[in-house]
Amino acid sequence: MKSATIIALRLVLGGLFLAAGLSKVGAPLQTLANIYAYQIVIPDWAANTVAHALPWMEILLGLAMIAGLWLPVTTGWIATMLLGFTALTAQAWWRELPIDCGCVDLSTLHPALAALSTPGGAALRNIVLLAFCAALLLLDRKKSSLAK
Amino acid sequence: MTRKTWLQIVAFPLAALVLGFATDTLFPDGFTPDEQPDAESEFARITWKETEPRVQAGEWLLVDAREEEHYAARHIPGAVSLPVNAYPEMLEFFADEHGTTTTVVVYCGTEDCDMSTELAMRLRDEAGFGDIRILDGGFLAWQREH
Repeated sequence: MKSATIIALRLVLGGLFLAAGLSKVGAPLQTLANIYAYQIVIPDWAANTVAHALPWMEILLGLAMIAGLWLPVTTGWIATMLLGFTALTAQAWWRELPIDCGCVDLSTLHPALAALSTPGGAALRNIVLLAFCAALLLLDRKKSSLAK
Repeated sequence: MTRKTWLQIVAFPLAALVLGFATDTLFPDGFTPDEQPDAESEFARITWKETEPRVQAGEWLLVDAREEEHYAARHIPGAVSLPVNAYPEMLEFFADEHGTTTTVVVYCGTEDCDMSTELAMRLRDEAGFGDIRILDGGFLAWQREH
């Protein structure tokens, strides 16, 4: 049962990160535009570096998560990135910036999920995914200690 | 934490950085359809030779998309500063002040910089400007000639 839950959490987190990365890769200009849309103080060189590295970081982490590779480190990175995304989207929501989150558009799955692509919705979604990360780490640790 | 864990932690951002910049080098026009190539091709590029007389005559508006510090340090004479990450209110003010029927020529630092295209997209989509061009070679090309 625990193994099935771990696999399900891995597939959800990995799948979302992989989809997010694939939607951005090869279009650094669009990613850069999404970063600037958040209206945060960031030097151009840093924004440019993030625009280039972020899609691949999401793809690599997504693949590693699905494959179950280096699970504690992969989960830690995903949680760190989700924390960053949550802070970004929450400040955009607080400042009422008229932007979408620049993340995976879940309205393609169902129109009712469109709200999850707004800054406030994305912040909530990220908090849920952070809880998934915590659950995954906890279950994986328990499973490892039982195996010893 | 063990050395192996640290190596695993560093491996992800390092690989992402290498892949990110390698992709950009190998596919400078991007490979996600309907995004970068279209955005680039929508704005005509124009040389300084063609731009200079129209700017001097006050017919066209020359816009510097770089950060304000760079504009303050040096800019092309006649250019006004509108950083690419300007607040939407600033874009609205800019549109009210100059009128959206004005022809705008945008430039940033170099030939490869993305800021001019990005600002051009914002001027079109958020401020409603209809005729926007991009200065070929950017500030660097102008600097080489002056």
